[in-house]
Amino acid sequence: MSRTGVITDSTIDLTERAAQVGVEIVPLVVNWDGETLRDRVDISTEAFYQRLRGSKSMPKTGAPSIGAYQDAFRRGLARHESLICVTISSALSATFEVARQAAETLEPDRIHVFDSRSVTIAAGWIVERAAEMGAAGKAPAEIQPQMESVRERIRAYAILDTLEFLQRGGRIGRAAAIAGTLLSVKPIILIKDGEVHPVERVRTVAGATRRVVEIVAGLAPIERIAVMHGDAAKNAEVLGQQLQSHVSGVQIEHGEISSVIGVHGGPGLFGAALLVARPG
Amino acid sequence: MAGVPARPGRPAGAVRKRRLMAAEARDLPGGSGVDAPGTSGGRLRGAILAASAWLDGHAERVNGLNVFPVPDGDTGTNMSLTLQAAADAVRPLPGSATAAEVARVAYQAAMMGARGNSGVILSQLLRGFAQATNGKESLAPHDLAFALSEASRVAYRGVSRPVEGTILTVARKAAEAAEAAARLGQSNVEVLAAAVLAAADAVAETPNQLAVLRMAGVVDSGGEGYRVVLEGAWRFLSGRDVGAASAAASGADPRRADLAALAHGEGHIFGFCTEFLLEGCALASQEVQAAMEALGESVIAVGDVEMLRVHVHTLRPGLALEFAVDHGTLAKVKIENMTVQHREIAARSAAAAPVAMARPPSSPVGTIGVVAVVPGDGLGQVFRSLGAMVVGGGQTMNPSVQEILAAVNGSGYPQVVLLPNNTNVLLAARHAAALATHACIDVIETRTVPQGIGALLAFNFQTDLATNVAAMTRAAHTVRTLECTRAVRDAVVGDGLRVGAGEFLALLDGDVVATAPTAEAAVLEALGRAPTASLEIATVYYGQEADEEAANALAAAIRVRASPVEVEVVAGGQPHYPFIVSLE
Repeated sequence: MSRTGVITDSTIDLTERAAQVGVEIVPLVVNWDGETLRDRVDISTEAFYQRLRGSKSMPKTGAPSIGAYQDAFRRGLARHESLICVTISSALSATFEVARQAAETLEPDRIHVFDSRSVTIAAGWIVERAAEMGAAGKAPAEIQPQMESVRERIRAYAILDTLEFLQRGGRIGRAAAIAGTLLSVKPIILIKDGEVHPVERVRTVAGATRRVVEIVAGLAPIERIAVMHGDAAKNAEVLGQQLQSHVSGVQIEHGEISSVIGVHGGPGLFGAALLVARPG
Repeated sequence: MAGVPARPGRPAGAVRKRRLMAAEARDLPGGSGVDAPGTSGGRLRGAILAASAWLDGHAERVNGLNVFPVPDGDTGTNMSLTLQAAADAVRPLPGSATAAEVARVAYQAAMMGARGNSGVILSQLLRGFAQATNGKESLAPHDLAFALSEASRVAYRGVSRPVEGTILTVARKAAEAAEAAARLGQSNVEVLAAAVLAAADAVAETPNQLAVLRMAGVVDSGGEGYRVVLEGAWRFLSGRDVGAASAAASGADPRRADLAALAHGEGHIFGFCTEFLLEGCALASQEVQAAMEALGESVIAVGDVEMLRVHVHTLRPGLALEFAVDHGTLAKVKIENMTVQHREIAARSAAAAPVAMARPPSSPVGTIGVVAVVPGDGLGQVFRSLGAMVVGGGQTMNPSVQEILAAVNGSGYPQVVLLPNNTNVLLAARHAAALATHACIDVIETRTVPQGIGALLAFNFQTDLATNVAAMTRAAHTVRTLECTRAVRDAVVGDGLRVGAGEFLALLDGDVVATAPTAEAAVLEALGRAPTASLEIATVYYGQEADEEAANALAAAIRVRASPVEVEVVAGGQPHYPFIVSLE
């Protein structure tokens, strides 16, 4: 049994290694037409996008309840000396706050809540590092600096079909600067330091894909890279192929944009998550 | 007795007398000694005002000297508005101002008010003139000739690639003739007359120097504009009228308002028309006249100690009245605020195409802003929706250096990228960049609206100014522009293509490549000349003279011709060009 157990939320992908070690996922929820659906549990990602395309009503998302975290923490504390709980960026969701409060009600000395300042598989690399070190018998005090190092170096670039979903969900952040264009453009956004930032706008998907590849190439050397999408498999495949030639030596991983992120990013989102070798 | 040179050692009086006689004997006008012994600041001011009025009367005609037979010629208007800025600035100067002061004020105002390339070059001519007159109270003939030469030299230096057969050639030849006349000992009026005649010859020569002029059957518009400026100044110094009637008689559009009186002080100027009767004034009427001239224009002081009638147009009526009160008993005072006719004209031109001032965003993202010059409301909105601040390009009016500067300085950003989007705005944009105080400015030399949009789209919010400028410049160059407009007269254009009045021309990146009876046909033919192998998306911006239906039809045709390609239709609202198509 790991000395330090790791818990995360459903907006963060588990890598193979993390899944092998064993990490509990606390689901966020999607509220839709009166239903409360737990992300990745009550609705699969595929089913979500299918329903989104045909739906007249817009779903809303919600953080897990304090109770859900308390349950997860109690389970974890029964098996591990300490717990590290990695959450989606506090700027994008109340999840971090809820987890922190849940920890306060139990044993705050043994539960360390960590704001990934990111989301998706990018944050999953923080989880993997923590899980591996926890399994190797490290305590949170030792694991923390490592997690911080990864957190500093992750970037997530996404090409969106439209900024409308980000706007409606209120998560658009500084990318509001590129919203509302009268010309049809594909916005490229970046999640960095926990927030959504505008990068560029390109007229076509093909053009946007080329730009993301250029940007990624400019961030070399790259330690890890993943391609992810929300109901945009074909575009993601093309992106992956183009990226491959720029990141030889590094395996391209795959991420899933599940329903909660999908509500805010909208269908057709695809992009790349990176762990750059050097911060800055 | 023509052309007797002044030899050193001759008494000044004898030289002057000889000049007078020589002038009388000659056909050349202006030998009446109106302007001996030199041109004072007050006279220089009058000359500038007259030149401005004269040019305004000829602006429409100069506008018509367009190389392309298209309706958007604006050289005349641009030069006229530029010179008006100078005239407005020198008008309130006291009659006692030195020539140096008048020239300097004129140049500085022209620099800020410069519109279009021709306006900017005119402001450079004034700059050279001002530099040469530095420190001089009045101008002797050789000073005047030297000033015209300096004007020409500075103008040449201000253009990165000077082309002969343009205003530069005309300025140079005019200056050379002025120098020759001065060496011959002629008066200021004669020197200026020589300059005007040489300018006319040079203008007539321009079609022989530039093939495009020859083919279009016109002389160079900027050159003609400068000739008109010199002519207006000469008319003033030689005591001639510069009114609308005269302008019309000399070929100008008679519908332009009469600004003539400005120069002669007989009409209405900005300020107050002040009249009063003065009783018991011990001063002679000439003394009162001189005192009033220091306060304004159109001075009349007639009468004697019993009753002196005084009339003056001044900005400071109080000063005139104080003077009166100090020297006699005031009676029957009348003061009227004058409306300015030329302000109405400027307002009318501006109203035709309101200059939308840039509005800084409420919360700027990052430290780099983008300011773009854009014609048409719809296109302005497109640029704004993409995050740029917009300076209106106007109908046939390009924005002045000052307007661009105000947008940049007021943008709220410490670093600004400026997109001129028109070859006729490039110079003004560069000048504004050089003059900016609140921001560091980089100009991306976009020559068309589609290039500007391409550059704007390449803006990266995450990187620094230098990287952005490089990326935006590259992007601008990858966009190809198709423009289509109606010909206003029969002409031979481009590579020997014929077009009839009412037919349409299509340009690819500024070169005429197709003509056709309809706009759509012209665009499609030009499309055939563009490399479409790597074309991914085309955008049709339809202007005031087209509509959405026609634009959609054109878009459908383009989709078929250049398949596979995405085609988008946007309401641009631009004047003169029914269709502008960007190819990316």
